[in-house]
Amino acid sequence: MGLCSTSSSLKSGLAAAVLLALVSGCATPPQTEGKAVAVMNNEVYDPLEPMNRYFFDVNYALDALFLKPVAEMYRGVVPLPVRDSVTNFLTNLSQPIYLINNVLQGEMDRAGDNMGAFFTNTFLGVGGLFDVAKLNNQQEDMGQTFAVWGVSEGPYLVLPVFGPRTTRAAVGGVADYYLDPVNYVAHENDIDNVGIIRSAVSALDQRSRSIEALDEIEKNAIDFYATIRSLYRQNRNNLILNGASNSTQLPSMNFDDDDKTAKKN
Amino acid sequence: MLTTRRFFSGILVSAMALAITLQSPAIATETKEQTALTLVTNIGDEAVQILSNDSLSEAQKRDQFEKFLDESFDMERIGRFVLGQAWRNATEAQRTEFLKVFRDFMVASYSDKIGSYSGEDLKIKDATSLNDNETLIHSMIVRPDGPPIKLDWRVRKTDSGDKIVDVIIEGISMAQTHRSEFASVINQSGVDGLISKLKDQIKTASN
Repeated sequence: MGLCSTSSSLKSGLAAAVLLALVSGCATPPQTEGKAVAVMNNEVYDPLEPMNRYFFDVNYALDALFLKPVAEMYRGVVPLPVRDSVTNFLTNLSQPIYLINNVLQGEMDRAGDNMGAFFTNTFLGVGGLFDVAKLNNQQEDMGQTFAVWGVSEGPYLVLPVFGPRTTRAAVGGVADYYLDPVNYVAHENDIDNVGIIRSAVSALDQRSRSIEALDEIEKNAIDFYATIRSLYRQNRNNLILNGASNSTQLPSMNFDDDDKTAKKN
Repeated sequence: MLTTRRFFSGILVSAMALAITLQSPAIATETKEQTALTLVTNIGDEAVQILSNDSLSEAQKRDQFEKFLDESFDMERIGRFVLGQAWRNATEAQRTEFLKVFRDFMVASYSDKIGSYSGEDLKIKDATSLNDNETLIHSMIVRPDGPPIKLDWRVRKTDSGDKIVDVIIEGISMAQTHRSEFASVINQSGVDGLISKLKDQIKTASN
């Protein structure tokens, strides 16, 4: 998992871009049968559903066996201020890649906030252990940047271990890894496996903060897979729009046409 | 002299006419948003009042919640929306059955969150118009611990007054989530399959 030389990372970046173009090109949902059908398709569009459901079950089992118990132990043993510092440290470490993505999306004010948060928390917050800046910067990644650039989301995927992704976000994740300055700094200083350790700690951090929420969602779901898929997609759209509730995103709830057809029948 | 006067009075009249034509829809949208704001504000006040009232038992609070769901939500519209495409092909009996079961499902899945109330408050922020009939009311759940939660209410004008048709938590629409989930179940086992799954869920939730 170590970082390769610059030329090969450029190559994999290109390969990722080509893959993305291919996938999004052949994955546009059919839009022939009118707008309502197109919206519906878009909402449940999941051509890889059988495979996704398989990996969803695999991940569910892995979570039940490893991640959830460890997250519960972590929460039980490690006091809250320490866990908060772990969260703060991880968030601070992500500010450089957030900044890069905000610049690529043309969000200069947000990029400035990333810069402010990073320097304030690194120097005044003891290397990022304390959130002094309190800017609450939102997560930014290449998946969102691709979306801003107009790349369509591609089929929904459930990756083994990593979990739900749109194809766009999955490719973006690879691009983020090769763009992230933190990985280069770690590589320069001969720190191995930064990517793996960072992913593992942030998985633990996030899981420990979502135990009740996920249990609740599972309890109320009649199809847990479909619920997670919907929640994941809506949340991604929300991140792409930077939290601005875009009212045009909401589907129409008019049924006046239905009424007419119903009366005819 | 006369021409200038005429000219000015002409301008004045047309300006007034313009002002009137521009203003009448503006007044209409404002009242639509105003009534929606009032509705959600009242709901928020009432909900907090009921939830924080220690003299009420949990069962009483549940009854209140059921009453609130029936009175303030356009359950039929939500039910039709969440059934999506399947509504068209469903028989009249299936539709009636589904609407009844869906309502009970909502009661069952949301009413057991009543016990977990711990001093949250609802702060109403502002309103944006979605279309001629609908308004989005933006609000925040202010929690005693942890960051506030963004909560939007989609309010629709109906024949029987303003009704809530969707609740959007941190950008996640409850109606859309249910619709997407139900579509998946209908794909596998049809509307009858969905109805029986919802019934199972209601049974396990009430135990």
